[in-house]
Amino acid sequence: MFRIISPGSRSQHAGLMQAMHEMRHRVVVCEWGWKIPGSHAGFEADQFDTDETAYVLVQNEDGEVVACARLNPTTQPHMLSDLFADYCDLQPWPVGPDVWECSRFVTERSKFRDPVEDFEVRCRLGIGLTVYCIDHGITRLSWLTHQKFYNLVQKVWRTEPLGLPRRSEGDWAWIAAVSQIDLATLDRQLDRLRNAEAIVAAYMAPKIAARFGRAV
Amino acid sequence: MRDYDGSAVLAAIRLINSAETPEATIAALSSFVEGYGFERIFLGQLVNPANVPLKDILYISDWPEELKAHRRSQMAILHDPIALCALRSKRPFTWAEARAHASSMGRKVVDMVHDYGITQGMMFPMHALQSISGGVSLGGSHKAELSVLEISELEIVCQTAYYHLEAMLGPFPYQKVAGLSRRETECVQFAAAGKSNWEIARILGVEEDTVKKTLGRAGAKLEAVNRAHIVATAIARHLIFP
Repeated sequence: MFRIISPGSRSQHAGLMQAMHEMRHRVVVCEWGWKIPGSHAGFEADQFDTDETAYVLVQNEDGEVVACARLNPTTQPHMLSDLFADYCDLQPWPVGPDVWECSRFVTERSKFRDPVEDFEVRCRLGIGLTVYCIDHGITRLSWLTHQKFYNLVQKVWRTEPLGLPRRSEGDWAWIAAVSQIDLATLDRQLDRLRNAEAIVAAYMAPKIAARFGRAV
Repeated sequence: MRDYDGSAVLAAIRLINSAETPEATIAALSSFVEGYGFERIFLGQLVNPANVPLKDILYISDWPEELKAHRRSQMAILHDPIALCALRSKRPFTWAEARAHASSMGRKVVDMVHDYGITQGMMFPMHALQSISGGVSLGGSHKAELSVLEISELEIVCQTAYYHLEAMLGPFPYQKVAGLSRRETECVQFAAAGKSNWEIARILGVEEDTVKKTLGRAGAKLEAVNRAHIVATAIARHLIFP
C-alpha cells in the first residue's frame, strides 16, 4: 500500500531512498522545471532532506517508487519558516512538536496506466501521511500547496489557508495551508480509496464527453 | 506586507467553512464581497462549450430569474467569453478583460447583464486536480478599482466557498438543456432575426442548401413543423436569444 521510511529505518532502505531521489529529479527538476540548489545530476535533494526527515513512498506492482512525500518537524528550520514566511500573511505558520510540515508531494504520473491508478496512488500516499501522523502524535500538517492541489488536500484533511494566494505574473498561485489530522481523516481517505472508480468516473465524465463531442 | 491584517479574511473563511447549508455559505460569501463593491454571485462548473453539448451550468446564483433564463440559452453559453476565458485562465480576471477578447456575439452576452444593473464584474476560475473546473463570478454596479491584494483576498474566500459547496452538494449536477449543434443554433438564431436561407448562407459563408438542411435537422430535433415553429420552440427552450 505504502511504505514509511523514518529516520531510524533509513539505512535499511538505501535502495528505495536512492530510487525516490531519482524519481523526484525526473518529476521536480525535469518535468516541473524547478531550480533546486544543491541537487546534482539525476538526484534531487535539498537542505530539508535532513537526518530528522521522514518519507512516505508508494511503489507500483513492479516495485518502482512512483510517489513520495516528505515530512519535517516544525521545531527545526523548515520551508515555511526559512523560505516562504511571506506566504503566511493571514496567520503565523504553526510550530510545535505536534505540527509537521509536508513537502515534495510528488507522483510520477507517466508511470500510471489510467486516471484510476493515478487517483489510487495519491490516496495511498495521503493515507501513509495520516498514518505516520497518528502514529507519532502529530495533529497538524503544514504545507505550501499549488492552487490546483489545495482542493485535493481540503477534501481529506480539514484545511485552512495560512496566507493569501500568491503567484508570479499570470501563473498558478501557491497557498500556504495547515490541515488537521485525526482518525476521521483516515476513515474518509479509506472511503475515497474504496470508491476510487466511481469518484474518477464522476470528474472524468465531462472530459471524456468533451473528447468525443457528446452529451453526458 | 508585514503590517497586513488578514483577520477579516480569515474570519470570512472560518464562517464559510462552518456553514451547514448552501444558503448560509452563499450568505457568508455575499456579505464578504459586498465590502468590495460586489452585489451578485454566480457560482458553477464550467464545461467546454465548443465541444460539449449543453447543460444547465447555472448552479447557484442570486441573479434575477429572468436573467438566469437568458443566460441559460444555448447561444449565451456558446458565446460567453467569461466562461471561455475561465476554462484557460490561471488567474482571476475582470469581465471587461474577457469582453475585450470576445466576438460580437460574446460582447452581447456580457452586456446582457447591463439591463439588470450589473455592469462590472470579476471572474475567479476554479481549477483543481481530480475535479471538474468551475468558477465564481462576482458582479456589481459601480466600478470597483481593486488592488492585487484585494483580488487575492477575494480569491481565497471565493475558493473556500466554491469547494465548501462542492463538498456539501457533491459534484454539481449536469443537466442537458439542448441538443442543437453549434451550426444549427446559429441558423435558428438568424432565422429568428428574420433572415432568409440565402441571407443566412451569405452571413455564415456556406451554401444555401446547407442552411436549408441544417434548419431541417434543427426542426426535426425540436419536433417543429415549420420555420416559425422552430424559432418559437427554440426561444421557449432557451436555445437562442429571444
